[in-house]
Amino acid sequence: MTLDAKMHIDEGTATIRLSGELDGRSAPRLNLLISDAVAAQVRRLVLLVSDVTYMSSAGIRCLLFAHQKLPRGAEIVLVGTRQEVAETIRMTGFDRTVVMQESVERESAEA
Amino acid sequence: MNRLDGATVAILIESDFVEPEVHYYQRRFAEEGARTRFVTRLWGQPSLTFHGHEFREPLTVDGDLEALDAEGLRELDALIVPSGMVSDRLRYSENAGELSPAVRLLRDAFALPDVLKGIVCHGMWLVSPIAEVVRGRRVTCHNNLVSDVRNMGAVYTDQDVVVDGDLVTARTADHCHAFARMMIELIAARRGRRTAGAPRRVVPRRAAPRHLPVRHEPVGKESGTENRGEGDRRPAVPSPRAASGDTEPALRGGYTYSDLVAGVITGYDAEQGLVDLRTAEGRTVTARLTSTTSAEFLRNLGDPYLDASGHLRELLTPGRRLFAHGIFYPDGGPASFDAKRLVFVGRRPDEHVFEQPDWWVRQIRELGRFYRRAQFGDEGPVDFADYRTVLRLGGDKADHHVQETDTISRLVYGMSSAYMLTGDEDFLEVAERGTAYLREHMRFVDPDEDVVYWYHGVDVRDGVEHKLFTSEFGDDYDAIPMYEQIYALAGPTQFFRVTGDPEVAADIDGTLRLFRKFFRDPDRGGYYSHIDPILLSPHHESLGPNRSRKNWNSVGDHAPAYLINLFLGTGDERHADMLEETFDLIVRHMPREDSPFVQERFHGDWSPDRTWDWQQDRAVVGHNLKISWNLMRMMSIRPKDRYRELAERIGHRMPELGADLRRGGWYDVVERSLEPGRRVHRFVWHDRKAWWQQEQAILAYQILAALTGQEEFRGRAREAAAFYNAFFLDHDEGGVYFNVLADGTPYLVGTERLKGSHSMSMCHAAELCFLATVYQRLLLDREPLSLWFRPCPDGFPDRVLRVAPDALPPGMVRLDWVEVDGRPYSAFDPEGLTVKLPDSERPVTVRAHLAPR
Repeated sequence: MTLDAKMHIDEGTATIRLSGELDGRSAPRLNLLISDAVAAQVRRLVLLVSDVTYMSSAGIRCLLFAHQKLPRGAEIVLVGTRQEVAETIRMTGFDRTVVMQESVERESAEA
Repeated sequence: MNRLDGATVAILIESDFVEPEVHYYQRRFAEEGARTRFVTRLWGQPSLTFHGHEFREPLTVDGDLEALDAEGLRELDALIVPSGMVSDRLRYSENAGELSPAVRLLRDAFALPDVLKGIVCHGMWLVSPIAEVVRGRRVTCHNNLVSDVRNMGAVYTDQDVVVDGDLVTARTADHCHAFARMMIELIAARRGRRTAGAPRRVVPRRAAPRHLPVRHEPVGKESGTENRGEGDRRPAVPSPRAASGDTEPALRGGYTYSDLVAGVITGYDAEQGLVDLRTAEGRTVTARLTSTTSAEFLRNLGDPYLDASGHLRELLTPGRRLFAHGIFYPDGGPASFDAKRLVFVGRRPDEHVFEQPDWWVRQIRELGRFYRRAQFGDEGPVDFADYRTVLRLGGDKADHHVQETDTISRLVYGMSSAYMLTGDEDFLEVAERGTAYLREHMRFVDPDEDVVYWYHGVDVRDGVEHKLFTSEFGDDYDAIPMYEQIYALAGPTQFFRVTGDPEVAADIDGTLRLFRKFFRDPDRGGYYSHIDPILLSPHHESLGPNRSRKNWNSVGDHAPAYLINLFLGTGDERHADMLEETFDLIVRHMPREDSPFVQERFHGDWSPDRTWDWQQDRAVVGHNLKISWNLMRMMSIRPKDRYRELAERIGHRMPELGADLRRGGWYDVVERSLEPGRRVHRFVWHDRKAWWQQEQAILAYQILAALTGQEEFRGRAREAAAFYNAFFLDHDEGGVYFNVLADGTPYLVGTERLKGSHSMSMCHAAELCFLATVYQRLLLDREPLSLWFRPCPDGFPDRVLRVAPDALPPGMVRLDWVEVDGRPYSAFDPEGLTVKLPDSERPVTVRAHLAPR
């Protein structure tokens, strides 16, 4: 199964909708999108991942790399993370940095 | 091999020589491997037979001194004028007032600093027609000649043997033994410097005229351009001392400057307050004591200032090592260097305080306390949330909130080592909490690839943890460098040696899988220096100049940073395999014909990369020493002749290339190649000395001395340890300095004034304390050593604790006794250096007492 990825940048927030499997082969595509978001120096990177059935460590490395490159204080928000994916993130220690939310509604309510 | 193999000593002979003296030289020099040649004025005969003074013993000589031209003289290591009537006979000239051939020969020899001149007893008569060669120089002679040598302008010194640069004099033939020993040592030292690859002498060899004129210029390193520049205010006839061979020319272009001289005292004139120091480069520098000269004893961290100013007369005895810092004046003459600060390395003449059994143990305790206080406060709990990589000079924290993985790991290394040497559980607690913090905050467990890697660090500003995934260093930006992953293991591995913690072992294994899977080059061997952060490939284009590269660190730093320690802690032969692979690669690819320094950067196919960023075609002196040190350690794991050969070659070669033989200490980064017409490899940025390179020198020469038995190496270890302990310890603030200037003054500018930076944080300074204790005590002084361990209940497979403090030659050390929780314990293997741990539900404290066999 392939990865589908679309990005939308609006007022300092980049929103990327992902669906499918984020693995070593598809990670470079996500990395390209993230590079664009980094270039735009967004303050907020929102990933809609409820349709991501599998996220490999390569995908998480993309997010980590993005986090390091974004301006200080910029936030990375994962929306709708599945249980298995959340466990992977926890093992990498990235859960201390990333914000995980259940739905877009709640995310926008807090914004 | 003998010390003087290939050396030639010429001895002038005429009738009325003293038989026992000449016989002694014949045998004594031969014993050291030197060839002894008797030369005389043959008066056109093929040979002449002379008779001795006491027993009329005949000696036939066919060496013609008149056939010794400048070239022939240069091939000599030494020319000796013996006692008896030899000199008087040889100064005979058919035309009154003309110089005899022997006198001319001696004069020519004095113009060659390379040729050591040895004059015994009445031999000084031969100097009288050419008195200028000894004017102002320190000499001794027979009591009957004291007025004669004073009339020559020499400084009579009431000693049996006196060394003044390239001139050695002895009182009488009865002192021929002490004289010969001094000659042998000086020749060996000079040959050591030469065979180590330098041009034969510091002075460029000009095409010499057949008869060399009496030298009227200072000779030495500073000769050449500098002396002639800047409106040269030298007197027309230079100071007599300056005229003599290796003796120091004080002036440098007509201005004052301050500097350091490190040497061994060869003479002291209390009346005039003059001290002669022989430096490691073989020169003599005369220091004048002034009314404001202070003197102190070298002291350890935590020791009070120890004044020596009141005991100078008793302390300034020949053979002592001394540092003299002071001011050089452009006046020339013997009093042109005013010493202002003297540092003695011990109270007794032969004492080097840093060789005391507990020296380095006390030092690591002070280091441990400094970092404990700086990071977490003096008492109180150890909370790594407070840890900061950047510490100011006094240990206080700056407005910088990064916690670098590497520095925490190094701190854990230092604290674990401090525990092993002292048994102080506070140090172990810091190590334990640091290891836990690394695992919780810096570790990336990658279940897809089944590997572990380590973040560069975290930024904890405002209480938010901001992960720094890729390196923040310019050399490695946007990449995962091997260097950082290697050093992430330094602390956990040393902690594992103490505790056997299985979770820590699992992390180390996971990181080793990372190395094998992503960094390793399975085809051409070795490990790449960088991988990209997304695909973990060493070949990704985003790596830029780091793409598909290997370097010294990525191949050579495994062994010292963690791999030897891991092998010691586990005994796992797979680690020995990896060690062997890396050392084979070092020996195969790093030494090159184009330079005496190793090549440090490579392309994937091992062709040299001489374009990389700052490295270009440059050498880090300490990396060469590190190779030598670790090859010698490897000799105790899987010995190979080529390991030892390279280690010894580097050990012999480096001092003249990377050490400061005049002031002591080791330099930093130099150009690998010598430009035409130059004698010194150019410094890349500065001539400062970094603390870690001193460490490499001390450890390399200690282990070289211990395993080869060569005295030269022991001397180097001593010189390096003396400089480090005299100038790197920060007695005011604690800890050690990062860099000192060439003259030993701390360099406290920019990042080099910090105490916690990415390399400093209790890693090298602690490693030095730990291993210098092991090498000095167990290997060199053959004294026992106690080490502490604290195994956890489920630690160490089969409950086998390995207590070898370093890779040691098999059979050299045995485990004498063991205590567990303060009680004698018998389940240990004295030869295998292992302890079979008790089945315990809580950690136990193990004290292992090792003794040389």
